[in-house]
Amino acid sequence: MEYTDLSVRELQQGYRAKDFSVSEVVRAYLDKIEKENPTLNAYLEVFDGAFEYAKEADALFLEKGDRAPSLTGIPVAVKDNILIKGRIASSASKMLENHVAPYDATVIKKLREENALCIGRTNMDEFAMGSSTEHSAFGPTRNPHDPERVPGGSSGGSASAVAGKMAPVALGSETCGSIRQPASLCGLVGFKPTYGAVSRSGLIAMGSSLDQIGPLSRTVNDAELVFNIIRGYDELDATSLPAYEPVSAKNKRIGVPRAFIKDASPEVQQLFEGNLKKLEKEGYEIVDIEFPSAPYALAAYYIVMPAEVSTNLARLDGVRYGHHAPGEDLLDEYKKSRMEGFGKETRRRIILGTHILSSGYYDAYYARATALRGALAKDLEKAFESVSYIATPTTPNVAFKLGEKADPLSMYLEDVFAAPANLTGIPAISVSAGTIATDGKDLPIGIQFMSPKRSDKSLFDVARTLLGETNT
Amino acid sequence: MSVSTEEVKKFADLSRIEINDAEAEELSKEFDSILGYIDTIQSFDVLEAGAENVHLDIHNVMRDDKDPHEPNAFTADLLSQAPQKEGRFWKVKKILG
Repeated sequence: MEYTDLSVRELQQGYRAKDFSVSEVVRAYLDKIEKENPTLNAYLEVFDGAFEYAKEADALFLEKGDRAPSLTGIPVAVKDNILIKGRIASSASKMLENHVAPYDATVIKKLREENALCIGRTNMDEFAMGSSTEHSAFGPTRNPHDPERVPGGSSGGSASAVAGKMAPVALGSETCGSIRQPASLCGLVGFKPTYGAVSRSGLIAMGSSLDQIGPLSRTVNDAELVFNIIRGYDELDATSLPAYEPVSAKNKRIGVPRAFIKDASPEVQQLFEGNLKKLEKEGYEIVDIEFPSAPYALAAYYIVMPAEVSTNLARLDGVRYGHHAPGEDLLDEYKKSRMEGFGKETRRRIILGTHILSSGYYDAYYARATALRGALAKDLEKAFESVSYIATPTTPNVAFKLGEKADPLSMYLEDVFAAPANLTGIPAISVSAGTIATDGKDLPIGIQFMSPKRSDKSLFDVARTLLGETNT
Repeated sequence: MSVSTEEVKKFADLSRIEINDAEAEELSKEFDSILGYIDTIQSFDVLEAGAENVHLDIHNVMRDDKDPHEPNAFTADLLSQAPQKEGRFWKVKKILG
């Protein structure tokens, strides 16, 4: 047995049964990172102080035994857009390359209360814009299942770290599929909570009406465990939902919008159908549903997101913090700082968003996209009258090769199945549906389940059944 | 809908981003394909769908304008990130002539 193969739950039990120490586990993870990270580039930085932490954690177990905080000794990899006080948070951008976080994000505070070890910060697409982690200013991350291929994105570093056994669990963030898509391509569990369930205080904003923080893990139980620690009302987040207890499903009916999922590759569809059959054997009922607005969701997303990006990233001006370039006058300094500080994809989306919000285009674009979000919500409301879940493949294809999707639109289409959940704020989970043999490698692919707002728990239940996990 | 190179430059200018001619030309072509895809939204009749705003259940949470923190409580922390500073101020180029 390797310590790095163990789940969070197994680590928790092992520490309490004195099967192994925190120092042994932390040593195993640091060795693993030293071995794998030069190839995979999952971590941008591994934080110092892990051994000191481990010593204290072992002493704490001696002193308190079972009463030690629940995440004592659990390493957590953190996406580079989540603030940890005193550590660099760069959003994988040259703009924030030396930006030291002045405070802890609420999710970090909550992890600290349970005494987790934030072991390092993970690579991502710059400012979370991308689906491959190739848009990082610090080099691409690679997929542990085939290093020639991308891990997905934008939380690709977090996915590669967990799939590469360099962390048992990681935090990622989603604006449109950025947790679920890398989870799918790396064979992990990836969970996007109900919008407002997890505080975004201390998350570097991308699309504020869409962003959510969530876990990536190797088991469903671990994803639920971390979600239950980081969720909750927070007065520091103006869109935080009032406290609620995530509810279970009212029935075992799963709706499949077949017209929507026809764009998935035949191999992905075949695997998807096989998974549905498995659930049928477990007592779930599979029914066809209509979801007429779904095929338009991604187009609406590419209106709403750039618009919000262009406004959110306006704060990065090279004056208060971040990259500064000297210029002739203040305007020149703004323009040069932003040209040098932002990468190509970030510049593309900011300029696109400025176009979309410019005078004369508002009705054709933004107002229409907003109305479409309403249409999506209405379609979902109708569907959820009869079913508890909607299932689709998470992604249309398995992981692609680095450099394969040079055209921006082809990259954007990766997130076609992710968009409805982000645009309407419902929770969604991706779990591994199996693997597809591609060029001599078995590449994982995910199945996604969506459910109504606040029914986060029901997603863990169906995912557990599919993966054969028990909740004990 | 197409966006000319000149328009791209105008939007870049409004975005406070300097771009060169080559990038403006490349972006103009990419925007053609991206906006072509975005325009598929026009073929969905949202009015017939009777759509409303999706976040009707979410309200802005406001803080009362009271109990301010001590003056300068965070100044040193925040200024530590400033590219250019003088005393307890950010330093910028002259704005008024």
